[in-house]
Amino acid sequence: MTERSWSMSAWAIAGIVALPLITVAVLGVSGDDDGLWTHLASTVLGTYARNSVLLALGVGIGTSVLGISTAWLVATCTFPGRRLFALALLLPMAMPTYLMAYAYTDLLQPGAPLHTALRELGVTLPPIRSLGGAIVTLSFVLYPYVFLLARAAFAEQSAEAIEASRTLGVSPFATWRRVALPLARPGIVAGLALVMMETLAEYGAVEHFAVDTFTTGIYRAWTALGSPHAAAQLACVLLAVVLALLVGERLGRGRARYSASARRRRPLERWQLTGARAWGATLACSAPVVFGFLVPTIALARLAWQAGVPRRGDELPRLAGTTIGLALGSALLIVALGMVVVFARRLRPTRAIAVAARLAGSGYAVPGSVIAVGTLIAIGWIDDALGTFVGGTALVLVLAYCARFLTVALEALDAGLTKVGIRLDDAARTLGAGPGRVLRDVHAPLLRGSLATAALLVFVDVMKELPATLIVRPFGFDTLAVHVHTYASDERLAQAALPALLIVAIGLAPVALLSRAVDRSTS
Amino acid sequence: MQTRLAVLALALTLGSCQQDATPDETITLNVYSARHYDVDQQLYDGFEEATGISVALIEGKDDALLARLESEGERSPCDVFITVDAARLWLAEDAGHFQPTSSAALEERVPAHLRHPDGLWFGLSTRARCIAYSKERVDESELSSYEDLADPRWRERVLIRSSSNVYNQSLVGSLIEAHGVDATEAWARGLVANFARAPQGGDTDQIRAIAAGEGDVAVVNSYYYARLLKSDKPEDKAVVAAVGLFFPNQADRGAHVNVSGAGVATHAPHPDAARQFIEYLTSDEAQKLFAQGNNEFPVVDTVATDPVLAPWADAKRDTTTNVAAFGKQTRAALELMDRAGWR
Amino acid sequence: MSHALRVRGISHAYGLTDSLRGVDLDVAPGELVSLLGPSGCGKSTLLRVIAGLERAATGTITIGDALVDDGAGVHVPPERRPVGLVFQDFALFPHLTVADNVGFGLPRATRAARTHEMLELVALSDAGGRLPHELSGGEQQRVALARALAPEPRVLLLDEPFSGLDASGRHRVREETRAILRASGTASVLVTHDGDEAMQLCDRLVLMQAGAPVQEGTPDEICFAPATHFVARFFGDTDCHVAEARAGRVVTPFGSLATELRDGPVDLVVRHRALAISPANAHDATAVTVARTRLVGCQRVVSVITETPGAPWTLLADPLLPLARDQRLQVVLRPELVHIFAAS
Repeated sequence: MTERSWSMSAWAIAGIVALPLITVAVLGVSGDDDGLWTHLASTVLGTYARNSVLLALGVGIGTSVLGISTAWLVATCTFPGRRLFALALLLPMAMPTYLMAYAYTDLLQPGAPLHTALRELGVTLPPIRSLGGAIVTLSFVLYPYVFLLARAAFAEQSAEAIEASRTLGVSPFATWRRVALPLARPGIVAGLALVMMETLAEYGAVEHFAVDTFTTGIYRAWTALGSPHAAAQLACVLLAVVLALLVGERLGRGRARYSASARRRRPLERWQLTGARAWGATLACSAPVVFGFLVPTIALARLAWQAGVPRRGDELPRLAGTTIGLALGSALLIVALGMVVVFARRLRPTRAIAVAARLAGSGYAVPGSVIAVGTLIAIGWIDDALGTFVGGTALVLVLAYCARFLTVALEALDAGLTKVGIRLDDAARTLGAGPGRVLRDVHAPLLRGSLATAALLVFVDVMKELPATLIVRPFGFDTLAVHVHTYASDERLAQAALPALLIVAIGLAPVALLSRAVDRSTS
Repeated sequence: MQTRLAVLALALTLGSCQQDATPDETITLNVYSARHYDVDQQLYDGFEEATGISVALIEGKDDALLARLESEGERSPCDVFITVDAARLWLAEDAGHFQPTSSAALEERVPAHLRHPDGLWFGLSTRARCIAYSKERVDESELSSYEDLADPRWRERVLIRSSSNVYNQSLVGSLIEAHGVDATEAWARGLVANFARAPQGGDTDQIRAIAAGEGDVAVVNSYYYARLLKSDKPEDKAVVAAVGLFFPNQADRGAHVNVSGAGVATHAPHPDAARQFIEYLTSDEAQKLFAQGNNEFPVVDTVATDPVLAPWADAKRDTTTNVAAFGKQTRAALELMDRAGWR
Repeated sequence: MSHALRVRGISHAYGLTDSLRGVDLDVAPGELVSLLGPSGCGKSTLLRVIAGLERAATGTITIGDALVDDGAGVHVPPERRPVGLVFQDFALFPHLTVADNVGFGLPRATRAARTHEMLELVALSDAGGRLPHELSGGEQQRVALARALAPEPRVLLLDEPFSGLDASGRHRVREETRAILRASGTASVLVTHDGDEAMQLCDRLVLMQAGAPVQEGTPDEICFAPATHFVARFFGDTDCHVAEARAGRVVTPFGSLATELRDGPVDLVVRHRALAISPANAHDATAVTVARTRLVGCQRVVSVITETPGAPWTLLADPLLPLARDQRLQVVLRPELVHIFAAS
């Protein structure tokens, strides 16, 4: 394949993946919304905007505090349990946000045993179904994105920069604040960007917590109010906010560079923590694992135990099979597509390709339900034009997943590829290797870690995905998440507990692998 | 090589999730259902046992399924569309997603006010939107109607779920039908002023919240209360001991009733099987499942309401308000609730 | 004779700044040519354009008989150009062994034999199974050279290939490289900013400044007949003095020099070797005073002041010659090592 055909492929992928989004945008600007926008603007839009902003901000702060502190401890210090925490701190990734919401409301809402017990002790908790409750629980389950990327950033820092600061008379803490933290900024920001996009696109948990955001508003406008146009308009506003955030970060970074220039760098020596400090570090790292993973898992396990033998339990193995199959297939496809886009941009770093990559990656911030509707409508148009029936096959689902999760793969692959010197490509090219061979013989082996990371992240995301799956899945593609949702929406959470635990269990393997892949690439 | 392996793996994993191709002689009936009840699978299994026709199912919220029907157009594989809400039956009918079905059995068994005159859809079960109340803090004699819940004496005592919920939309639709938009909006504002907390959770959560002292009265579907009545769990028993159920508006039109119904999809590949399926759902066997399994009110008079709901079996239910009326008022109901600040 | 490489009128721009402005270059088969210039003069860009890693805006490039770039429709991708490239940081594939690196550009059929042959040529026969990071800098450089030469390119391009090496080993590695290039008989283009390096390795030098060649020629031509002030000063070891041309002569404290320049202010670029200490009382010698002496690389560098006011002059003396501050010396000026240019 020539450079040109790689560019064309990247564009084709971007085009297909962005199709649902483009459809939504077209819907947003065209057609008649029957005065609905005016109605929304005068009634609920303010609430949506306020809640979305506060939620994103709150979760951003929460995940920063949890993610950065634990990442720094694990990456640069020694304390009891450090090696275990490198893995354990990723566990909440296996916990879908909606399960987090189910579990915590079941524990803490009025009438729940824990709530009653605390009240008898004279402790009245603020209502769990609230903006505050959503911020806290989402922070505990989303911080691993910040942890993962910040940890790599801290681990890669060279001793020289830190030592230079210390020899200039700056205290350890000030050095951390003025040197280590700013140097880790790109990693932290990349993690935060994923968190914010995930938060803005969050549906299941915020709906359960009774917080009206843009996402719930979009769903409501489309379904209850029956207006795809108004829903698309709301989605466009959300998308614009996300793009503004991303652009703002780029501008804020300005012309500063964060990669070290020295060629031979000495890695940091670990900081030996002792006594109270060491145990403090252990405690600090335990909290997120306890609240983000153990407590909800135990709560679900308790529910499952009380429910006894679940109804339709014999379906669970099949549902688990479908879930794993879909997640695995989509992960492989999405990583392959992501690799093509990333590689095409590297071959010819033109503005057009950069735009294509941005376009292909913008779906992460869009609620799954919006992607789903966009996919359904776009596929409907295509089917109309071609006389096919793609709409009834698993392809719709896969397209929806691609639209939603390609960013995750792009981010992971991009991070890996920037570490492979461009000179290696030049060397291979001048030795007669075409782009395809460069990809196969140079990048693929050097990027094994990043490819694995990308695939595992996408796998976990697809496995947890609910709204898009719910709306576009064809016959026979019920996943565990769908099964859980069916029971949860019938207000029979106990029946949903066992399949919910199964989702968490399936997520554990890729999370453990992910931890190993990250360990290897940073050691 | 690696790419080829990846593609192969992809094909295999996707292929493995694909259902086996159906042999020609057996039919698989494709059902889009907004019902999400545990008992439903028994209904489908029962149908397969009776007819040999298996059921493939997509469950989802009514509106999501409607949007899906819309986008699939004439390629839709859907045979039967089942809703849990009367307004959605009308919306589906209005959008042309149902085809007329003539069935002597259905016409005979389903009362006229619970089916479409041209057989576009048939009611399968009904449920009443009731008022649950704290036996400790509220005397049943204080309760009268939905309208009364807007009275200031209920300030900070009323529990209800979000306006996004279809049951609330149809309830408000029925009030608009009875009193007009302006009066209903005034009522909604009064109700919102009486909320004990921001609307949250499902109907069961409202009942539990009464027991926990969060509020004194709640608007809930009858079967959720019945489900707690039947539960063996001690904490559920404690809840029903503290909470009573009241059918409002006995003096006028009766308690608001919502309909779960089904119709044959316009582009159904198997219309005959679809008709058989709906007929089966109105059979005594199936109706018993609706009544006992999910504590709904059967649409046929040959099957009795479940014993736990027997005390209310004679309560007056609103059979005069037409299903189409809810449907036409959905949009007005939603906008009104938005304006009133009912989240 | 046909050329191994022929470059005509190549222009290239990075964004708004021109990096190459109409460059011509010819390289004969087997010839070793150096592109020489300060950083930012466009020499590396030219190399990348020749290799096909950058696209020329205008101009043509012919390698052997094949037109590979015409600044418009024709742009042969790098992998299909018969060129080899040795990188500044060597760009060895970190995941491949030395042998796999060398064999990377070879067809499967001949890979093993040719790899073996190349490793022998660079005296690394035993290192085939090792990984790049296990080698010394000089060894890595030889692997990079063997890898680039293995596919038998028509032209080998070397981009500052010695800058990553320690000063002590650099001279030896250059000699080895020269020998290897001679042995392979491949036409080569070496990009460097180091004049010594260019002269040590190459038959012909091309000096570049601001995206265009300013002079090309053998080391002797460049050294003794610099075309511009820039070229004359490029090799260092020069002083610059201002003077006046009048009627074909320029007066210096050491006597007057002939010039073809018109009357007016001129710059004298004086090589340190131009001043030589002469025996006392030589008839054409001029007396100067030692201002400062220092030892640089076993050469005694002496600053002297003339009796006419002006900047100090530099001369190189025998390191064993005892010289003290304020000592008086007799020196003569060799006009061949003084280059006169109109003042800029």
